[in-house]
Amino acid sequence: VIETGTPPATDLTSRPTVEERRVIIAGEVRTLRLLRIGERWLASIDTEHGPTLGADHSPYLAAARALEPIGIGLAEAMAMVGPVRPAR
Amino acid sequence: MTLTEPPRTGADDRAVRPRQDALTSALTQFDHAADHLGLGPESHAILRVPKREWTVNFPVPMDDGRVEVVTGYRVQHNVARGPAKGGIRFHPATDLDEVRALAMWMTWKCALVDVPFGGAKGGVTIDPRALSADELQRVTRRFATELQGVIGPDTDIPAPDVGTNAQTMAWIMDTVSMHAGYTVPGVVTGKPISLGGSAGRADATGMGVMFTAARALAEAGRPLDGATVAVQGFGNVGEAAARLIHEHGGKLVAVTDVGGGVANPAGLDPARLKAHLAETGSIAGAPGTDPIDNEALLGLDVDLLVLAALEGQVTAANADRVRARVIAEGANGPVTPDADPILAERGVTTVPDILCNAGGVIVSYFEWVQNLQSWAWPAAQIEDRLEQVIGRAYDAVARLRRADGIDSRLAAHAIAIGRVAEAQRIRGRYP
Repeated sequence: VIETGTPPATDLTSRPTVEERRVIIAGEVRTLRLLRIGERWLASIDTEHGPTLGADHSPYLAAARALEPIGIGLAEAMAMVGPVRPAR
Repeated sequence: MTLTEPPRTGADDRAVRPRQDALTSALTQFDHAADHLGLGPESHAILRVPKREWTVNFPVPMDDGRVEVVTGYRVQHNVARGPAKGGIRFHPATDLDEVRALAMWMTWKCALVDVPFGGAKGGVTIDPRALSADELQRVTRRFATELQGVIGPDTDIPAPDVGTNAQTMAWIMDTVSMHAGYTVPGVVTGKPISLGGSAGRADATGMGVMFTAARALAEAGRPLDGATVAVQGFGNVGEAAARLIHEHGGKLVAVTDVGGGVANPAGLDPARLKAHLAETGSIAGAPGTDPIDNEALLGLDVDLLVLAALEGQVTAANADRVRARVIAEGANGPVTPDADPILAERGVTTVPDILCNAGGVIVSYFEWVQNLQSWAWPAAQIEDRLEQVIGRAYDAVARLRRADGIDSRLAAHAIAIGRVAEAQRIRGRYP
């Protein structure tokens, strides 16, 4: 069954999981931030134009969207995420 | 080939053991990878089922005057990344569930090697060895006609698979062209070169097996040159893989096919095995060899075991007897999901099927591109580009495997499913 209609409200009282990854992009060490809120993940990395943002149920796909604007492909982005902690 | 020859096969299509349920394997692998990715419920639900399926029943006049009703299938699992791509197999045991599983694997395979195709598969439930060349041609042309409007260079592009070959593709191309009123070479790949087929297509899958196996061996600290190798299956894939591995210094010590097997610790010459196969119908009994059966081959202490027969060959029941350092899955699904953890525990590295045998679809993509451009690339260019594309996919899988501490099969599926899910999301929902 595919969920349709209005998604359930995210429980903002739950403690968010924040993870950071030191990644090397074009020889420069940068920080990929991963934030878990409820069932979803946000990913972000700073660029000269400001921070990017990716959101998804999957931390890997969220990271892929955050890294895509700076030319990082999906497979490389997934490897940058590495193992993620299970939900608390 | 001549019209009187039976079709050569993709993998060795003569099962050496009853098959495991391919669809169960495919869905288990998908669910496992989707869990690892954290795939959302909508993407999970969409990607777990085929997008489109056709079952056709059609009458075929036989040489003796009888009319047989033949059943065929075409399944398009997903087309988010491009036209559907996948082989057509002629096999007496082919059914809709098997075709569904194979179509799903094609989606992942195309996505993993990053060619712009979705996944499809077709099957006709017949035994091609029991039919004359004329009967085969009638089955093929009628099946192609039943798929009128389904297959096409921009929609769904078949290729040879188990029990079909370049001649089969030529008949399909001709049938589609007759209906269109002009020649449509891009409707199929794996055609004869004289009809727009690509150089290197016949050996492409075996070459991909050799390239990926060599990388896996190198990672294990053992170069292909001098590595001991056993090969299960001596059809198009197994024969080409064995020959190319031999040419690159691998020492072939055992090979099996349906008629039996041969072993020689001092090394086997694949050219001689091929000659014996052509003469007798099996490699069994080739001069200067000792007999070996499949179970013994699977348990050989070798550096590389190439599985190029059918699916479900290494299972939980026999995985603990495998002593190879690396398994290369030249066939689709030769290792069942319940065998994977047993092999991992034993330190066996598996090059998963959607990576290992992707050479065929990569060169099919090259053929499709050449057809659309009306341009033929030389064989050396095909080989270089194949190594480049499959090598890039191998490196991506290895990088994720190391980063996440997971096995290659899970890494390969996670990358592939991630790419398809992302394409699906970006395209959006219609309406």
